[in-house]
This record gives sequence, structure tokens and C-alpha cells, in this order.
Amino acid sequence: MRNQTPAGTPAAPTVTSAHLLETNDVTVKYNYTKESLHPTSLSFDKGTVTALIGPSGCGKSTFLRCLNLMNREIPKCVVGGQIIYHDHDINTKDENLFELRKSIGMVFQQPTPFRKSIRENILFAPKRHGRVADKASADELVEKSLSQAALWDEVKDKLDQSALALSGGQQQRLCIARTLAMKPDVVLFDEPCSALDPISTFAVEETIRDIADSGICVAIVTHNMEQATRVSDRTAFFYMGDMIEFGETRQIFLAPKDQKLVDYLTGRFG
Amino acid sequence: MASITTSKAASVESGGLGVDLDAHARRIGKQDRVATGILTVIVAFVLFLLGAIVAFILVKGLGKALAPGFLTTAPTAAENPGISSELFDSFYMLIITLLISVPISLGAAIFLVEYAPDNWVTKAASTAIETLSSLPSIVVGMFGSLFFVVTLGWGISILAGAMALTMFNIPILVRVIQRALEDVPRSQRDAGLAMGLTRWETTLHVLLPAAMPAIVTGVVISAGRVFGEAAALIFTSGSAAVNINFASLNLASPRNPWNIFRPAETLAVHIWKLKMEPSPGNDEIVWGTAAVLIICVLLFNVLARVLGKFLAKKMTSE
Repeated sequence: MRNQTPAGTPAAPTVTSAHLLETNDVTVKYNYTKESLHPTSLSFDKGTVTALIGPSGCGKSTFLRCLNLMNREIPKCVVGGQIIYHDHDINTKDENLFELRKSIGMVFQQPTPFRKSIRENILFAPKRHGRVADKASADELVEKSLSQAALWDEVKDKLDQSALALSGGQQQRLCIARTLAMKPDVVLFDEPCSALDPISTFAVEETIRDIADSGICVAIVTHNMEQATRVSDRTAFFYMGDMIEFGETRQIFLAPKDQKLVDYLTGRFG
Repeated sequence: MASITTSKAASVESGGLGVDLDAHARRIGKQDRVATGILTVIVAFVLFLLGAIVAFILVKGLGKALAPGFLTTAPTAAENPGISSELFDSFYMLIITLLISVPISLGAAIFLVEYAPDNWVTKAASTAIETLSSLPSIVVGMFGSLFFVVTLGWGISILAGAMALTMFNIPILVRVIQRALEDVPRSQRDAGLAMGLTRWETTLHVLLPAAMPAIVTGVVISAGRVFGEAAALIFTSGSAAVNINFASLNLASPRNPWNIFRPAETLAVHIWKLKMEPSPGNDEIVWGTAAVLIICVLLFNVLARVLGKFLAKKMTSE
């Protein structure tokens, strides 16, 4: 579906990739010149969770924000390299950001519920995109999305109350539900638990696993190494703007190859 | 901690720097008390000033303001003239002004916060808006009389007055709305964009609702300022008392209350006018009008707070 380009616009180069989402030598420059992310090549697959770990300022969030082209919203920020999604380079001028972000969802560090009711938080974007036909399908979408985010039982009796009255953990799960309501095939998490208490963190981690098990491709930035071992299948380690090592999560934590990763895991910096 | 509060032995122990920690603690404690005292006196003085002005005007004018018929009698009445026309004109002028200035300010503020590229054009626009806010209102009135009244041929009219007030109001409103929008966390905007919404959809459906309590408060406070403005109106909407006929159905009649091309006199201009033309009984009317004006402005401020709080509460825990 993504390969179809509207008539009249030049077709973006088609690139064959074995992965759902793949980056080739992606770089990020802030202020046109300062390269904060050096060439990074990673791949992401359906049904897997990939964790991006590393100390603060290592470029992991910067990299994540390339995947749905959120870096384009930052003035004077330049993203280089290829980002291949469904065999199609999305890092081009012609890419329709709004179409792209319907299928690549993102959940942020701070819960960001809109000042609307719980129901409207879920339905707002699908409605704007003309995907909600009638009340029955709207109700179905609300229930399904909230259930997927393990929030339905807690809020089913107060769907019309303000989302801001929820606890922090519930707000974050609402944001996940809201993202899932768009029926994405990739969901990006940018340190989703760093503002949450341990119990909420556990609930969000469960949800992340469930999302991946339902066939969605998940990438999660975390500074919490235990979290990476709990939720991820694969892990990439970033340091000073470089992607240092990428592999199975077990291998990264049990048999790290790079000395910098060894130092990081043993707490010598970070 | 303990070494600071105990005796001189501590200062000897503190490395022999020769610093008397005890005296130092006493000195900064005293400075703190003096500073707190001075600041309290300053705030008390400001409060006293405001209280004195309000009390003075109320004492002088409340009797007249509450006199039967003062608010409902036309200023042109031969006996016991009131301020019914001025009262109506003030509110009518305010509403027309807000109808013009709120949409313009909203658009300008949204552009400056959300769309404007970081370049010299934007900086020039921001500077221009700030400069507009410091233009003397009498000068704005002069411009209004030349441009709106003469060049555009609107004559001395409510519309010309409202346009002059708009020029006066826009900078304040733009600033207020700009700040309200900037106070919405960046993450809210990112969240909207990350769901495939356009910048416009995000602004309209996410940012504006979140900023609404602050915007409403700002608009009502600016309304209070506009309501009391006189200088910008003298040359644009005039200072002649109008005998409004509420029964008039002819929109073109200068006595029809809704005709925006008729001259009008607001409460503030009325005060100025009567002071300029002393005649027996005028002083009493001036103080009565002043009392009404100041009560209205105070009500605007109270309303702004109540409305802002109500909206914020409604949106956070419905």
C-alpha cells in the first residue's frame, strides 16, 4: 500500500528490504552542522521489540525520532541517509508525513493526553482521518484500543470524563491506546516509563509485549537496562552519537563484545 | 548546620579562615528580616494606593451612581440627566472591538508561535506589535480620525472608534494569546503531529483548547482596559451625548442603538467631556459615572479570574 504514490508525484525510489523498517547510514544534524547522530544502520521487524539503550545524550532518542520523521518538526534539523519502510525510502522531500505517521505511532516520555474526555482522546485522530463511520464502530474502536492497552476495565465507566483526571500510569496507557487506535504497524516508545511508578511501569511493559505479540513492530528507547532485558528481543547500544553494538538482547547483556558496552553494563559510566 | 549555629569554637574549627560564622549567620538573618520588611511595606503601599483610589471614587460617586434613574435616564434629559446611552455605548463599542480584535490577534499569535520561521521578518513583526502597544492612545486616536473617519469616510462613528480601540487592543491580546499558547507543553503538539495530524489540526484541536482558560482570562482583562479608554475615542467616535432610541427600527438612524455608523460616547469620554464643560450638577454626574466605570472594570477583572478558573477546572476534571 505504501508503494502506491499518488498520480503526478514522482515515485520515491523503491528499495528492496527484508525488514519492515530499516535504516541505512542515518545521520542527524542539529543547527545544520552539529552531527548528533553518526551513520546508523539498524533493522526492525514485525512482532519484535527492539530496545535502544545508552547513557543520556547518546543519540538513542534522536535516532528514534527519525523513524517517524519527527525530527522534521525541529527547525534547522537535517536527517541524512535512507529510512526504508515497506520497501520504500521515506526520508525524501515528497514523503507525506501525515500518511506516514498514521501507520508509525509514537508514545512519549511524559504522558500527553489531550484536554478531552477519555473517549475523545481515542477517537480524535481516527475521526480527523475519516476512519470512524458511525457510533457503533466508534464504541468498538474505543473498547478494543483500551483493552489492548489494559485500561478498559479501569475506565469503562468513565469514558466521558476528562483524561487529565487519570493517574500518570493510566494516562500513559491511554496514550498507548490512542496510538493503537490508529492501527499502526510500527509503534515507537520514547522512554515511556521514566515518569511512572514501578507498578505502572510493569503494566506498560506488559502492554508493550502484548503489542509486539499481536504482530506490531516495536522500538523502545530506555535508560533502564532491566527494562530492556524484560521487554526486548533485540537491543542496540548507543554511545556518543554512535550505534556501537546491535544484537539479540541475551547476547548484548550476557556476552557483550564491545568494550564500551561492557563498561556501560558494569556501571563504569552512564 | 550545627557548626554554624554554635559558638565561636566552630569558627576556629572551620579551618582557621578567621571567619566568624556566628556573626555571619546573625548578619544574613538580619538582612533577610530587613528585606522582608521593606518588601512588605512596598506591597502594603501599593494595596493602600489602589484601595484609596477605589474608596475615594466610590465615596464621591456611589450615591449618584445608585440614585434612581441614573443608569436608565438619557444624558440629554432636561431634568436629572443619566448615563443610559453612555453605558450602552461603552458595552456596544467593547463588543464590536472584541469582535474585530480577537480573531486578528488569535491569527497573529498562532502564526507567531506555530508557523513563523525564525528569521528577520518574524522578528520585525514581533517588534512592530510591541511598538504598537507603546503608541500613545491619543496618537492612535489622531490616526483613526484621519484614516477611518476622513479617508475611509466612515465619519465620527462607533466603527471608527472600535477600529482605533482594536489597534490599541491587538498588541495586548497578541501577547496574552502568544504566552498562553507557549505555555502549552511542547509534548502536546508533538503528540498531535505524531498521530498524523497536520499542524493546523493540532493547533485548532489540541493547542487552542489547552490554552483556552488563559486566553479567555487575557481577553476579559484586555476588555477592562478597552472599556476605560478615552483618548483614542475622542476623535473617532466622538464626545457628543447621543439620545439613543431603543424603539428605533431604522438601522440608518443616528438614534438607532445598533447602527455602527452613528457617533457614540462612552463612559470614559463622558467623564472627560463633562469636566471640560463645567456647569452646575456636572460634577456629581462625573463622580457617578466614574464610580460606574470603576465598578465595571473591577467586575471585568473578577470575571476574568472566575471564568479562567472555571474553564481550567472544567477541562481538567469534568
